[in-house]
Amino acid sequence: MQWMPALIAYLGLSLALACSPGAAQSSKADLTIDRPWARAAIKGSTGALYLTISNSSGNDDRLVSVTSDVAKSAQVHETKVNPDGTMEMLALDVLPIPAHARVELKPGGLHVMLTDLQKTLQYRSKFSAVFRFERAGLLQIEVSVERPGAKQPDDVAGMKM
Amino acid sequence: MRSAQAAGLKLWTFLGAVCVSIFAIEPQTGAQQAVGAPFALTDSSGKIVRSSDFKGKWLLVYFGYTHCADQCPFELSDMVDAMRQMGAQASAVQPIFITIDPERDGGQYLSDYVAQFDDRLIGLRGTAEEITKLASDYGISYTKIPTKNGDYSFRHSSEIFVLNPQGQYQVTFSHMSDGYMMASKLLELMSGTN
Repeated sequence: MQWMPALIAYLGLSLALACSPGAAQSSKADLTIDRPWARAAIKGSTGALYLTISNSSGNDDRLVSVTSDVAKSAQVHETKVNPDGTMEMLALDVLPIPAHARVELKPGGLHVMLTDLQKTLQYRSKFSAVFRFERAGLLQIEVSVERPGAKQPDDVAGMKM
Repeated sequence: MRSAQAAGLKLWTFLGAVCVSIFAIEPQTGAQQAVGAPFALTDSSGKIVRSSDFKGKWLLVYFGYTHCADQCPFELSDMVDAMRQMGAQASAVQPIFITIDPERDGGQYLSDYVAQFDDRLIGLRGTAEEITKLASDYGISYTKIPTKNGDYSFRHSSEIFVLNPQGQYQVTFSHMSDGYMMASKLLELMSGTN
């Protein structure tokens, strides 16, 4: 029965890992992605992914593509307000991440649009997405799903009781 | 000094007025108001819903589409936040989402979409002609924009219209209004002190 303490320790550690909040930050080659989150959205509709990308290097980089199993396609968009008060979304082929810059994707501005959701993004679930940068290469992140009208991660205001 | 103070006060009053006019657009007296024009649309079960069915309720009307990833959820969330901040008085308010994309939005899908935000929010659709007419009555402009992958999105006005229990247009909230601002304006309108 010598293996028992080891097994208990292993189970304990697994449990601790399973219960700890997912990593809220991913980084590679001087590029860091902070707090990626998406709004809950139903299958077949369109989702939005928000996060902050920081470039701590002295080299400019560019986000060239985003992919995720949850959506048919993903693309960086910018919500633009026109002089007549109408709003529209402009698709960006690449998103520049200049040297020593922090680029924020947040509601009402830049976001990654997730087109034709292949499954419902359930509130409090997680999914993964892969970001491809010109210099830094591939960066896989884990996205937390927030409530449908959230304006920031952990937005508790107005949660259904 | 006194005149400088007076000028300062005038400036603040002016800036205050500018702020109010940015966030809440009051109806212009004497102008032809088609906002609040009666409508007959269909709900997710296919039932005809008429604006007159809501007599006695304050209506919050928003035109949007479910494939709008960023702005529409933002506005719908503001509407729901406003109702939550109003407490018990929110029972006199009916929030409505009218789709400008009847091609893709309808049935159970539309119903599931609005239910994500709040059980009280209802989603309505009409034929393309009905929506064009109603949007024009409300002064809503929307244009279909084709996207590269053969899909489309919309360039559209993103405003929330408030109608009183008699179905008369009261005020428009721009995309810059938040839930708190909308709740306080609605409570003010309800108390009749505006």
